[in-house]
Amino acid sequence: MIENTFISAVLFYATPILIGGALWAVLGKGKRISFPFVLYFITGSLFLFAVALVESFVLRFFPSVAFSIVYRYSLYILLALSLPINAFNLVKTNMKDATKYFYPVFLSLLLALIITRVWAIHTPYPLNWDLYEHQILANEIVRGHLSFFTSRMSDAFTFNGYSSLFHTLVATAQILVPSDILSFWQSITFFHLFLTILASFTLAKILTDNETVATVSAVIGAFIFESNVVYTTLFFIPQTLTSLVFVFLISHLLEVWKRRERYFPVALILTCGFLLLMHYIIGFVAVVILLGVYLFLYHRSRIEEKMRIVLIVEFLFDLLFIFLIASYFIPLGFINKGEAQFYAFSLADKFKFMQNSYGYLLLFFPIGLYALYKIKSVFARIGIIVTLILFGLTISQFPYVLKFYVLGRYFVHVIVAFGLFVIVSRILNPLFRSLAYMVFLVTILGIFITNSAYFKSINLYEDTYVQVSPSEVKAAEYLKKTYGGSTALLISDPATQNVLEALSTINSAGGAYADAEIRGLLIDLTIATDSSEMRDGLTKISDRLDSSDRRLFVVGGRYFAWQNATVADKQAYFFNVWAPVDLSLADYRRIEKLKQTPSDFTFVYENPGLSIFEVKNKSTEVD
Amino acid sequence: MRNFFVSILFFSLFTLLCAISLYGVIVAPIEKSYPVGSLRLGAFENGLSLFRINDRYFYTISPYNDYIINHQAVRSSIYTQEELKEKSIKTNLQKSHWENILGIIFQYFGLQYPSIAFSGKVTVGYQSTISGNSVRITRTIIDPLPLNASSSAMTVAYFSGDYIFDSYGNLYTYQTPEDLELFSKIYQVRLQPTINELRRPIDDSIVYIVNPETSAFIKIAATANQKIWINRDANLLEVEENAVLGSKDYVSHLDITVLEGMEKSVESL
Repeated sequence: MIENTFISAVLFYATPILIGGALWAVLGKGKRISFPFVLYFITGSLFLFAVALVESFVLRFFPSVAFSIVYRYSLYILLALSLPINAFNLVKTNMKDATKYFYPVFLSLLLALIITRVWAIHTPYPLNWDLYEHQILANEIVRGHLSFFTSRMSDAFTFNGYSSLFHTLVATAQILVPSDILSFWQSITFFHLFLTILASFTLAKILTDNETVATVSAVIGAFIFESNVVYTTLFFIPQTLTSLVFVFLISHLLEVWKRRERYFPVALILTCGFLLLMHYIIGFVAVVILLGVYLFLYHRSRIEEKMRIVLIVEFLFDLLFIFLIASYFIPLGFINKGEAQFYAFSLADKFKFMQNSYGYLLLFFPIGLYALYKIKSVFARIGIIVTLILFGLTISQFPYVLKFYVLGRYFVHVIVAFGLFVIVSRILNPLFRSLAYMVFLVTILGIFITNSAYFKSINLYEDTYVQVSPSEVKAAEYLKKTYGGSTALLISDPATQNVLEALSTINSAGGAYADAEIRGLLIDLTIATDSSEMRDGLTKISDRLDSSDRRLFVVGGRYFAWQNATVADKQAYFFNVWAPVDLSLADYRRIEKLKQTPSDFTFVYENPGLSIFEVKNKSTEVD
Repeated sequence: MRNFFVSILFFSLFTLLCAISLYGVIVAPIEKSYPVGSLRLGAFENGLSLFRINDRYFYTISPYNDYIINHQAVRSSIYTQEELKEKSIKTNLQKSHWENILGIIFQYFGLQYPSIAFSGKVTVGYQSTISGNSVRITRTIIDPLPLNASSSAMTVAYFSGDYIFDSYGNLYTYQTPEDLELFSKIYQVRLQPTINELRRPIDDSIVYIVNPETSAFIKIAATANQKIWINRDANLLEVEENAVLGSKDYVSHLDITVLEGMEKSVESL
């Protein structure tokens, strides 16, 4: 099973790369750019998304045919066609270019292994709360419920922040090689971490043309984990994949320009499409930056014929400055409402987040900024401008803007690495220089560990840090085996729903993002005077998208812990019982009462973490 | 030579910047505790406590509850009333930020566990050694000559409403027959209420504390030279042992295991 998860995770990247590579080869463009894996990836991803959408649409007219089977065979055919084309293309490629990738790949792999090893202490699974809701959508796709809009696939998604492209790619890998869900996410998080480190190296190398700076940037990129809102390295989610692809794309664009080669407009169109579909807001900012850099590089002279480029840059900076200052004075209550208010952070909050993730490592930022500014290179200037724009956006007072740091962090790290390098390069004695790098490694390891300890502390269960317990995994297996494929509706507290829906494939009432009405009905269960009132309350809970023939009431330690919270907390999306909780004696007492009311609840399953009841339908009772 | 001094200068500057960078990290109070099974062990102003995050139940081992018995069989607290009134007892809890950072790093790799020391007329230190869901707490009373003790006790404070019972099923706290019935149904252990004196010895070397609001069983195991008492008046479990005559310091141990969930707890019973 471990091998399966590993292969499945590899296929997440390899399948689109192979198909995209074949498409580029067929179109005759592939041989003109060396190793444009990122272009292959986005091309293949978009192609697969289109195939899945078309097949899903067509199969609506043939409900007896399973989407997963048709899609799997389509993938087999596409891969069978792609493999020889890619092999043929590889033979024609100049392999001299490949050698320059050995060092960064080796370095990134080594760093990813170290981080994973240190992070994994008492932490067997990813601590990525979002993985469950993304897995819920992947499950829906496997079942053939694919839609472009995430909110039409599951009521766990209350708004459309992105298309279902990310989830289609996850489902593609899982359809090709079915594997254990948690292990799959563990494996793919490792590959994601490896690639973010490689992206840090690649960007720093192209911007500074200095391998030492690139190495330091890779080390910073590996050890810095933004443990609030951003989560670049250790969370594999749409926003982090968008930023990863963006950094590889911008590095690729700069490299192509450096070699005085033409950048294909079709590549630009595909790039914009991919970034936008992967994450509407972050993708939009990424597209604006990418197009800006493209125009600056390839159409600079044409623009300069009409206006001075310095003036444009100055204008942009002025605009940004006004934007930033204004954000602190304009009353923004009208947009900082609802969920947005939980993503609107003050400068003090952001400073605290920075301390968590960096300590005061950003002290090297102004040094690096000044030193990089002194270099009269186009790339250094691009790096500075993009960094300042993204950094500026991040510290403004608008909601969600902190998320833009997922793009900005790569550029900030290049400048911090440059600041470090500038000081260390003044140390001429080789012994002291080596010692300086050792001091840096110890420092950044210390920062990573204190940050990890802080982040993990809310996920303590027994002596491990997890978001799902063995009891919940067992319960999910039972649910899948017993109710898989049915229209049963799982009802519990939002955290239990989130975890169990993802692992069991049984639909829940809103997952982690149950709406106010469902939360209200759940809260009312605590004031129910008898079991029939409780049953009636539960039968009022339904899924916004699917109808269900029976309801499963899951009462576990988490459920009781959630019910013990304040009403305000229970109504809030940001509040969850993050770590598993086993049943206490007081909880068993409540469960025993439910067991004694077979006319309203049928007891079906129990383990140390939770009990499951089928809720009797009123109609059944009448019958 | 000039290069050498320049190197030292920049190396010092770089090291200083790195030190400041590390100093900037935030060490939350909760991180100073360490997991023991599903609970955490942490050092607080009044001693070492086993607790659950965001919960109100703290099971504390404290010098303010611990006591000694002198050769005239008189029981007295370790610290005098005067010391308590004057608040002259100090702890080493207030650590520098650097000590906290290093503490977290060592704890992350399992190299340092919670400890605390109290300084008054005598110094009392509590050290913990954690292995999975078990912890051994070692109390050292340094320079105890003023105490003139023949024996001493380490104590664990519990809460009214907790189930306190031994491995024979003798129950030492009051519970309703309905609660006992439920307990028996869930854990397959029938608890027998004992005669409820306010203070009495436990009939076994093992005693369990079960809080109805948490899922953990706290198991305290006495060693061969220890005797466990329950003091229902003060809500304390007292683990008494003879002091070693002639020794300068008194060293005592307390072995605690945190069992989680029904299956493991039942296995243990």
